[in-house]
Amino acid sequence: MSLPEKVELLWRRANETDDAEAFAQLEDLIAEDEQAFRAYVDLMWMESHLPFANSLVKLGCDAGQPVASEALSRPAGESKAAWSGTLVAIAAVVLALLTLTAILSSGDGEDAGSVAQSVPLEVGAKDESLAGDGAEPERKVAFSNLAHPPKVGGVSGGVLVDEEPVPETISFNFHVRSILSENCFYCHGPDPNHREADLRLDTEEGLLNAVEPESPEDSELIARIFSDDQDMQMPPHYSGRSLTRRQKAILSRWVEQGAKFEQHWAFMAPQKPAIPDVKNGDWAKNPIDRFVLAKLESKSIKPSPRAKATVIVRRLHLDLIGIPPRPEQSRAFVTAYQADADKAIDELVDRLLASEHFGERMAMPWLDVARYSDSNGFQQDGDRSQWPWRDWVVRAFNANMPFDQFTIEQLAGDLLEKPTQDQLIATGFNRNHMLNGEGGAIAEEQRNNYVFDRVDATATTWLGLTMACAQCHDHKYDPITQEDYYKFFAYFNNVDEKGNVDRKVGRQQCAKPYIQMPTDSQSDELKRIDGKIAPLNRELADSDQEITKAMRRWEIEAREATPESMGRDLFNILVKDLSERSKGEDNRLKGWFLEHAASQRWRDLKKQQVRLQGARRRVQEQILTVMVMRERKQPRETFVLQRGNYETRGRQVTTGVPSFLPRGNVDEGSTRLDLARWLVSEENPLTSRVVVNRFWQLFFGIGIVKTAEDFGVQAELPSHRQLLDWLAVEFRESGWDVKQLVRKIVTSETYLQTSKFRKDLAEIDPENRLLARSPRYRLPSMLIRDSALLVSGLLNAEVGGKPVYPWQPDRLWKEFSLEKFGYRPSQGNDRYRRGLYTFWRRTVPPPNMFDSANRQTCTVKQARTNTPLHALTLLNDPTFVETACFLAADVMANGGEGAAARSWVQDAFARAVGRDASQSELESLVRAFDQSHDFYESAPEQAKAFLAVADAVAIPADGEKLSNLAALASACQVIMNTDEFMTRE
Amino acid sequence: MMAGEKKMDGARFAQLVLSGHARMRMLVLSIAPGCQDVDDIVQEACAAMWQKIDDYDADRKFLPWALAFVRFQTLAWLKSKGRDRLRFDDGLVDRLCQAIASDGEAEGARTEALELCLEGLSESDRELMALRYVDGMKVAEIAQKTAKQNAGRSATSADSLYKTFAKLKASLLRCVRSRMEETGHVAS
Repeated sequence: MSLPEKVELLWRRANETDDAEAFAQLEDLIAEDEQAFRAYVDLMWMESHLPFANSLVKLGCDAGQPVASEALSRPAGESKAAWSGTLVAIAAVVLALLTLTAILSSGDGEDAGSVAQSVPLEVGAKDESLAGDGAEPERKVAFSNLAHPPKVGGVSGGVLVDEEPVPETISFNFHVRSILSENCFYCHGPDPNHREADLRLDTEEGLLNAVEPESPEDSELIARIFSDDQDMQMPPHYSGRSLTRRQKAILSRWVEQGAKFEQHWAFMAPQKPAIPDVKNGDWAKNPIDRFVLAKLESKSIKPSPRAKATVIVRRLHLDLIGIPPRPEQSRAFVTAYQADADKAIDELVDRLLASEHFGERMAMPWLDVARYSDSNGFQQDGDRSQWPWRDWVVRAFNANMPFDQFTIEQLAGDLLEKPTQDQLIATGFNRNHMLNGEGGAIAEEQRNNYVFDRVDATATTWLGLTMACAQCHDHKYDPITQEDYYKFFAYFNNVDEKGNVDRKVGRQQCAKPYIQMPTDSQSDELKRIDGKIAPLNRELADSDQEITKAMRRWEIEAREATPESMGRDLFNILVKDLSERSKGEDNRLKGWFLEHAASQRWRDLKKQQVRLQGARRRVQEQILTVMVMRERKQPRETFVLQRGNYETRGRQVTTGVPSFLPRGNVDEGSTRLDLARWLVSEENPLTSRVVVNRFWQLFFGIGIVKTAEDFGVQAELPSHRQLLDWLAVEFRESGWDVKQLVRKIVTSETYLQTSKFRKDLAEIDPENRLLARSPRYRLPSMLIRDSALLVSGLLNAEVGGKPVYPWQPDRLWKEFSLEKFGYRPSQGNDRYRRGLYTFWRRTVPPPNMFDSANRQTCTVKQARTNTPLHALTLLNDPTFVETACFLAADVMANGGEGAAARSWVQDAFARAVGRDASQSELESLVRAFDQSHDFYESAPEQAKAFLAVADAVAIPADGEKLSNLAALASACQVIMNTDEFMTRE
Repeated sequence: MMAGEKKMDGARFAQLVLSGHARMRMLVLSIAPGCQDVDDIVQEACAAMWQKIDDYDADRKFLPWALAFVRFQTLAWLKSKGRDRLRFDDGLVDRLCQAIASDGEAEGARTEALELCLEGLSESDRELMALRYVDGMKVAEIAQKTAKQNAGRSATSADSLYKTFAKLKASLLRCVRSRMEETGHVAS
């Protein structure tokens, strides 16, 4: 044995077994022998440097799979995670260093935040071992986390509050918590793995460690926030966060007033507040107005006057049914409004709430929430047919199904006693998640992903909680533990599914559990086929002995002289000895024998049977298949998954609702149905608030709580907290009556105000959170399209049914699907259905529906952006060109003989915008018409090409008619691209 | 509680810690065989250094100063684990500290050489090394694993695997040495 080998052997023994004798030998050897000493140093060098060698690390990561799957136990200090953790720590130090250098060189405190934000670091989030009391540079890393960027300035309910005086009485909930949560919880919050100095500021107990009630001068927290010393200062200068003077004063006054702690407002049950007194009581139509007015009066702001009747009727139509009024409807309303305004409004609202399009309008945001789509997503993105679920939603809203029932049927309709087909379809809500049918996908991993998605969608939709954060670690801000997460997970973990795709027919792919919904004719057809097959089956079965005998005789001949039409695999069965064949193999051979080699009578029977079986399969494949929820008989066990990885199971858990919320009568081990009932129970403080807030958002553009997706402690404070609670309690007490809630909102004076921009509020309330006017924003693109279709007269207002394929650019699907999916536009008036029914492919959504939710995960807030692409789409997309052309043709056809440009333009304008054009508007439009007319008169080919875009419009043979039509169509395009047309005024 | 303004800024300190990090670990491994808390010890030592950073004389080398903290921290660890009997003689620890600090000079060149030498190994040897040093598997575990993969055939025993590792390391060491000599560094 060489010297180095001897050294290593001794070291190894000392290392692995704490062998004192080996240790002493090692010490003697290296102390006495210089060469051994060198060998030891070399060995140590190797041992300490090899784990960081790049060429090994790369390999280690790539080859991670087999190791991970071995589930070998390793000492923590030597695990791969620890090693890579160390590497990450080093990387983190380097990056923190870069950040710091940048901050120092910029020399400007304000830039610090943006620099810290710009560091693309996931490191801080990954490596929780860093959080210890370690050296200063490592701590910096904790903040460089894009998932939790700092917010800027003091904002409450969207209103800048820095200028406001510090409130006389400080409330922990409404003044203090948001400051602590934003600036402190990241390191001093609920997540123990990430806590600094063992101090938490999100509990009363924790706060008392840093705060001396009634004496700010003795409170460490106050000393730290006022400190000028960079090492003392909190939040630390490198965090990018800082407190304003007002925020510091609030904290200080709060301590002075006794540092009273309160539970987060949204986690306490809403109490119905008293309706406030207001000075201008005449203005208020209903309690909503009193809440809004009280706040306005406290700031000496006057509300805005009512909108014009023409605006009100249009607003109500668009908000409640999603399509604008026809001119005659608009005129009738204006007349009724002049006679009795309140009555006219009430009647209009009643009519709209009763319209079958009400359900469509309400379904739109619900489909975004439910991530509804007509395809599965991922690269394969196969089709699915969940549209019966979509129709269920529309019907439920139209029937004014109480929201608690609406909740229970979607989450757990399958667990109701003797569920109806509709109740099963309703559970499609939690099968709307994406589905990965790719060959390489690991089924169990996918299955877990589906359950994750259900947890996220359910928690966001009903609880307004960002539950997903707790998938890998305790929540950083809210008191949701990882265990809470997996208890919630357990409710959705018992679906009878494997994580793969079970049924493939053409493009269609779906996964069990599902139900099949044959049409009457399909059922009849199946019955007819079954009726014909039965006697054949019987006859063949009766003759089985005879057939088998004949077959054995044939086999001997066939081995000698094998029929040429016989395939290789069948031949392989044929030559097998009878005892070696499986039953299945023998039956296959028998099938072939019957079809090809048996006597004529049997051959005929068999052929008929095969033909009928084929027909049966073809019918079967056409049957509508809808994915639903269904529990497994043998319940699946649920474990906490360490770091959210389905392969690393921690302790076992059972179902249960989040531990920080009142559990009511829901116990551990409760069912999904219990969960659904709990969500809409009186005990649950969140659902009613979260839901009314989303309805509010639908009618006012922004929720009372702006962060409609998050009601946790990081939520923005409600702009009108009493109004929110009043609405929430009213809603629940009304029996979750959706139409009543909607009626209350849209008949309020607040809603009916004009949306005209007010200069006096531009500075005070730029986002219109105080609601001193009605909001004004661009309509969702889906509704702009619906409006264009309606106004032109093309709209096919049919409700429900299979998705349709309106026009879209050629080859768009092919380009995005690697040539897999061709797109065949629907024929006839299916192209003019409402946007709700357009086929939604997850990987390639309809291109003219900009700003739509991606329908991949639960989305509760619609994006509102503004890019030139939108304007170009509205001008050039064939659907919009066609509607303009069709409107022009329709106006001309109805204009009567001898009508001319002026009256045409007038008509088109009234139809599109819902009011008469002003004199100057009319002049501009006539001028535009004249210019186009001159152009098209001299270029009839251009006119034809333009009109040819519109399939529904016949191109006039007469030259004058042609140029008139083309010119009027251009004018219509102008009208349909006005602000007024595409805006909710 | 916390010290006031430091003489050194955090960035510079981080840089120094980073450059000496592997050597600090090396010291822990050398004087506390079998230690599972290497990272914790180094981290605590770093925290202590930062607290005392004002005592550090910027004209002198950082590594020997830092290793003194690591040494102290390691000995404290041994004590806390009741492993006092597994403690090298102070004189030997002195020598180890010196050796580790002194050939820290050529650290950059040496790690670079190691990198190149590793790339010279065969794919399967590198993988084997990665299993032990990156994935942190014990040699016995690796032996089991390969035994599973080769089910039916002769399993590699842990002992022969140790030999394989020893050979690999010896050849790496030779390779590193010769590369160092080529690039004009004094052989260590």
